[in-house]
Amino acid sequence: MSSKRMSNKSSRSMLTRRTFLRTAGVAGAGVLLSACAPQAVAPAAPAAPVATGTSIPTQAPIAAPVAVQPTEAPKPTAAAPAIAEVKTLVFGAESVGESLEPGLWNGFGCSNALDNIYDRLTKPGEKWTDPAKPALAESWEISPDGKFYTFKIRKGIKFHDGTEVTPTAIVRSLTRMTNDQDKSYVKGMYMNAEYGIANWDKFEVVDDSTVKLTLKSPDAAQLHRLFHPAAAIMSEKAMDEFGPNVGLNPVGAGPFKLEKFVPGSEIIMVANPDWWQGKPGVDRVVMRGYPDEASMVAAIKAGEINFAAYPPSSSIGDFQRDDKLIVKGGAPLVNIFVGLNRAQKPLDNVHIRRAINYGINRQNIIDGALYGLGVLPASFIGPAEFGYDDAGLKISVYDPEKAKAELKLAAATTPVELTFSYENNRFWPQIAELIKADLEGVGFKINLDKLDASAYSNKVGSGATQMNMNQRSLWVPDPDNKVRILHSSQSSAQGETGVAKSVLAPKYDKLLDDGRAETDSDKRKKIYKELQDLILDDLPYIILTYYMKPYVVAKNVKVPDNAVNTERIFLHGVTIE
Amino acid sequence: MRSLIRFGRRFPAAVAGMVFLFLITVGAIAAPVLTPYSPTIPRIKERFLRPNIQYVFGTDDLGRDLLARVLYGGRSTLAAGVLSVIAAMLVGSLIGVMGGYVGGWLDNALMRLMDIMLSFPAILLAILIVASLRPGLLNVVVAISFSMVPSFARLMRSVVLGLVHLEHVTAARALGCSSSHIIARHIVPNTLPLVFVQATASLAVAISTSAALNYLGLGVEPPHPDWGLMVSEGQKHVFTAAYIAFIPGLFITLTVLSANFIGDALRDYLDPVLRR
Repeated sequence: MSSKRMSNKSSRSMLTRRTFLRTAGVAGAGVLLSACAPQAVAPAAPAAPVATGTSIPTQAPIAAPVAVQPTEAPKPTAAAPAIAEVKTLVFGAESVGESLEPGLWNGFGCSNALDNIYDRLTKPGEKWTDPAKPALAESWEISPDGKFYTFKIRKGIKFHDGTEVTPTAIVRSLTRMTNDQDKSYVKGMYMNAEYGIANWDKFEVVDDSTVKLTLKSPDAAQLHRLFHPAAAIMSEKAMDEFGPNVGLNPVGAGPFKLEKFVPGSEIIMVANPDWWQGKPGVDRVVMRGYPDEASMVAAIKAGEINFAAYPPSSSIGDFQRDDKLIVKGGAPLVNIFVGLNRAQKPLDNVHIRRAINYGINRQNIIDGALYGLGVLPASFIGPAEFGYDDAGLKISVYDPEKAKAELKLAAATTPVELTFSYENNRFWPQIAELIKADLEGVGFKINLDKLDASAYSNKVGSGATQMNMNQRSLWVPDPDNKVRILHSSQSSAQGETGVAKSVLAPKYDKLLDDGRAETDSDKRKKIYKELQDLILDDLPYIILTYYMKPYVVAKNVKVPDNAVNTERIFLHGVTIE
Repeated sequence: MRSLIRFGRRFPAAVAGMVFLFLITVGAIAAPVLTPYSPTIPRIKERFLRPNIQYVFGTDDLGRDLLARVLYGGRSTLAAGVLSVIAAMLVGSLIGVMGGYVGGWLDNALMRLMDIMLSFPAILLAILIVASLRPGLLNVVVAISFSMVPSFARLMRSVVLGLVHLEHVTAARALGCSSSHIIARHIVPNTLPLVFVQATASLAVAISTSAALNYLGLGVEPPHPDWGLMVSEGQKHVFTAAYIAFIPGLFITLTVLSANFIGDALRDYLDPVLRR
């Protein structure tokens, strides 16, 4: 039987390699053509299928009028200012973001540009935690009950496009994210309850130099919140012209004008000579994103960038020894913590959470993963912030015996198995490995689940993780901002701890609201002390450290002390000698 | 014995490769005996020690002995390499024999399938598979062997196609032997030399692919060592402590080189034309 079949093989084969390839080729070409079809007019083959995918060009990679200039050669020779009259600051950061839309602000990359292109109603004081100072608002009055704010707007200030900063522009800039009728409406993160806009009742124009803000309940942090990166004031003309794409064509009233924006890789800004606070100290700022740690280090060492925002901790020691560089800053303002999602068993048991708390050797993490750039923590509010309370220093400690005792109280069968999710970049993997080793020493079994950034945030957001790990910075110098995001039942980030659905949620909410409404600073401190005691007893997360983020500049770059405040970098005072 | 000596004379590089692979294998298996240090438990106080008498290869950023990590890490690297080659060899040979011996539509279907698989770059296919399953040693093995199946299938099919028309096969068929008997007794034994050469050559590819997947973080779970993973962990410190990435990288290179030398020598040795 087989001989017959075999002899037939070559002559009768139905589908040879060649015919198969030919058919596949034709079919493939057909698919490509059909994909191009709706594009009609232009048969530009390679670009068409990509363009059909994106329906509304909200994230269109080309910024319309601003980005017209051809790619001009970047000027990396900032180290030699003698030849060039143009003083260029080349600013390196982890990323420069995909959009300069304040409403889509998400805490990464773009905020450094937002802070320098736009101006806001208020600005930080001399010291970061000082009361807010007037900026676009010349002065203000607050009603005795703390609910009505009347701002007098500074006269004669112009946006980069020449139009004037008017009360209507201010009101529109700050309400467009909650008003879906606005031409430039984007559904952004700044709307989330934890940033305080949910507490706004009305924001209206009174006359041609006055605006009035009405709150639902008093907010001690309101003036601080008005210099949040997302509270940027932008030109009305630009909002009308670009609509929801205004983030790709930002027009503000800040110290620097945007010259060119390549989403995700480069932002070029030039000084605004007419800025109301005076001409900035440098002529040009080039911001570049370095997602890869090693390439950032190489660029710093080669002198390609002369201002590096937060280079990898592992290289700080090396930079300190380099006499061409200066390492500065680094107040312990960034909280790094392990979220314990109590919606997932067995983390609903407070004894398990306490066992984890006592089972982690924080000093090891500070030394090992953060290269000494951290401080042992008390509770969620750090030593450089309002409301710091050191009682937590006795609770946030490494005590393996206590950890084992807590596990006994939990009456759990050891080893207690837990999954620990974290982002696969920067220092997160090292911290996770150290925590795993510590906890497995006291009776846990930790499965590591490392994910890339977007997969991680999806998983945490959906509440599917058990242990997770994150950091929180102070974008606005008020504890309400970051405490609220973790404990409020209204918060947008609830997957980390699951507190929002727990029985303690009303208690947390009450303390948060009381703390926000209290304007007397002593009484307010007391409320935050109570809140921190509750946190330390309940342990919705384990605070690992207050992390310091130093920045590195070339020797000839002079940075004023109040220019850099952890995540917020105001470049107008920076000079190059 | 004499032919073994002759083989050694002719292919000294292959012998060196064999010795190296043997040592690495023994080292990986006997790791707990050879080093007192744990490859996973961090000891922060001992971090970044350069190679010295106590720590022959130095310690990494978490204070773990690099020698211990290289030895234990060899387990996953070598296991992934060898297991995936064996799996690919078995599956690929089965497909090749079926296609070549049965022929007809089955041959066509199988070979077109192989064409599709071959049209993806092997490493890309492997990344795709591991990413869609979950990272882990077993899935790395699955991914690598999957991407290597076509080359074994193709090779096997071409050899079988040549063999089925030979007299001894026809004779066996005339005697009324069953197909399975013919395949097992008269065809497969004749394909073995070629398949082994292909397997040794593939070993080098498999090891470097497994190192690449681990480097990309798609392999073993982090605290456990793997050479590729160690290179990616050490890369951060390349300016300050280059040895952390260099040492596992050196081991990957030497192992792949050894496998290649052995593969080349075997091919030359078994090639009837060159042999004379």
